[in-house]
Amino acid sequence: MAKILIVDDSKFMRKMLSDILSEEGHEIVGEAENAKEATCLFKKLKPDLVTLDIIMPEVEGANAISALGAMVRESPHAKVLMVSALGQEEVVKECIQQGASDFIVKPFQPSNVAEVVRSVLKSKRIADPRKESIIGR
Amino acid sequence: MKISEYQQLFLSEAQEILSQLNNLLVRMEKDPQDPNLLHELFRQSHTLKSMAQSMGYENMAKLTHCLEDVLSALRSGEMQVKKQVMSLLFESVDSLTELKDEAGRGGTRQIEISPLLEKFDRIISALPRSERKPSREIQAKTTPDEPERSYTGETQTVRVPLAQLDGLMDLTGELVINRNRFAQIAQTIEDDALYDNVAEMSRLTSQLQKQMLKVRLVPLNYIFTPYPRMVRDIATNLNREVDLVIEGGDIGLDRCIQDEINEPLLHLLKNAVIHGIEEPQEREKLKKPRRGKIKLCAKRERNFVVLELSDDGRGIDTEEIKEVALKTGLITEEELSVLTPKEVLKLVTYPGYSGAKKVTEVAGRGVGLNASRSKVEAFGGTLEIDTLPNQGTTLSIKLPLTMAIAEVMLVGIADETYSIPLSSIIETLRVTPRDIKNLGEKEVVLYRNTVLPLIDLRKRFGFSPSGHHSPHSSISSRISSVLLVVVEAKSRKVGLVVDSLLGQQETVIKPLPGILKKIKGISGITILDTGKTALVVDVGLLL
Repeated sequence: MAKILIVDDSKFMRKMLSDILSEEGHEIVGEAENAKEATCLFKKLKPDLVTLDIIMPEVEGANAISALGAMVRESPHAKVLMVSALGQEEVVKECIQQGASDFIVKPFQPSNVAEVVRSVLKSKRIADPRKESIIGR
Repeated sequence: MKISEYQQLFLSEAQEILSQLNNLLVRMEKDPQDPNLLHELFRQSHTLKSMAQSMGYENMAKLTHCLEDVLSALRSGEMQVKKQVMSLLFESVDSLTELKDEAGRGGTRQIEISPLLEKFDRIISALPRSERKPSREIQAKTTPDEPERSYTGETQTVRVPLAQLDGLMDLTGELVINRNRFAQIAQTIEDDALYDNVAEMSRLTSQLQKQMLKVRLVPLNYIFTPYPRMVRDIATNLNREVDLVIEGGDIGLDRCIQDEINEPLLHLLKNAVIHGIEEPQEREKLKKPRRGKIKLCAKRERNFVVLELSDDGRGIDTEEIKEVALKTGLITEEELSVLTPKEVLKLVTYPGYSGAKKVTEVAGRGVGLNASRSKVEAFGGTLEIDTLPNQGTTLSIKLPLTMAIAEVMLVGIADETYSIPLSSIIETLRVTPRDIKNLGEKEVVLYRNTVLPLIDLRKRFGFSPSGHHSPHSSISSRISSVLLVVVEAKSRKVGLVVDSLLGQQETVIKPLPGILKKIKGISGITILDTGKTALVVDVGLLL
């Protein structure tokens, strides 16, 4: 079972994700509502997986992508799962290139979220441009 | 997944987002060039859209989607911030609020949004075809916008349902009462160990109580947040140009007090726009800036919060007040002649006074200021008015930080103990029956060179008068000396006649349940150190 950090600016969304993931037996070690908090908690809690919402309130110029970059540099073992909405394909692509493992699209289906998380946790993270191919699925 | 579990969370967060959207729109209308505002608007709508989709609220999702489209067109410069666009954005936030409320009531699709969607369609399809694809990339902002998310904060916080907090507060209150009893019992049993322990418990409960009170305090933004949008709407309707500046929204005040004070405050705000701020042309003639300014400023003063509402409008004309007061029979010419200017100004807060030349939908029904003042005073607060012709009016509302714990004076009436809130007591005094004069049907005493009417609480609460007199005997015919508690409410002083003064106590005032609520002259009930209960005299309603 994995230690998971949830990053989303909406409490509602955090609650939803946290319920789905705890149901799966994961431990939600923390929740953050912006990029700054997320990077800070990431260092402290050392989660195995982070779910990172693409639109978050940016703090001091930091945004989801730079938060992602910071996390990837901080711990090469942790996985980052992007949470996006329809119409954000470009950003998702960029995130994957920057080292994100996979993505889920809102509004999400619990079963789909669980499945993606399972496969992400099994996989090894490599910043690999070939991953772009998953965008098309 | 049980969606209903999430509904509560959805509703409260949606409400927060909608308030934010309103305020951001008001700011954008003033400053259409600020990219941060647009960015924040977009982000908030986006969050709301995801939430609505997750809940399966299709209409909300559709509408927020349109909102996003327009916002991205504005962001990319394909569309300009125009009056028409602004009103459409405002309209959609209103519709979203209605949809959210409908969802909260568990209703389904009574609200028709297709006309609104059509408007969006027209505005979006008017864009050049090639550029219609919304650009949704995230741009890193260069300067951080002030974080306006009111209650979440950056530090680690926990959300607690209000009912639980109230429960904790109630328990703390009970604990305080219990401690008081304990302390009293410990006094009768002389035991050092017990005494020490009670002293320690006393200290701890006091600390707990203080902490609990702090927890209950909610930033004033809780009620302030919708104000800018409201002021904007009223001003636009009346063809005024007004900026509302809010300061001190982060100051904490008991949530219950905020709930109660919201309406009066709104009323005063409306008054400021309607009666205070002049029309732009008139302001220019007076060499004032076209845009009027209303400032709502909250300050903490010891255990009080002071709300200052000032405008730079025409001020209140005291001559006009005099005229209206005389015409409506509020006051006689004779009475008027001895009033100071400040006292004249106070007349506007009296029942029945209305200075509005014509009654409008939003204000001017003549009950407003009086109702506002009564409300404020019911909380042990005060309302003061200051005005300068053509420079504006300032209203100061002083409110206690919390209602939960009150200091009361215990008085004996017949065999019963009653409590009177210390905040309304001016002093206590003893007079002889000879000092009591009859003025018509009323009994009065001369008090610091003014005439002080008396209210006999025995008579008022239906007890038989003391001594062996008939039930209708007057106060002066009874006893050798008379105890008075001088209280003030609604800017009037009155002497309450009581049998004895029993002491002072810090206590929790609880509201009376059910039909007892309607008893005039009683505002609640407290538990005494002895474990007995005492009714709380509602000074405001006695007058």
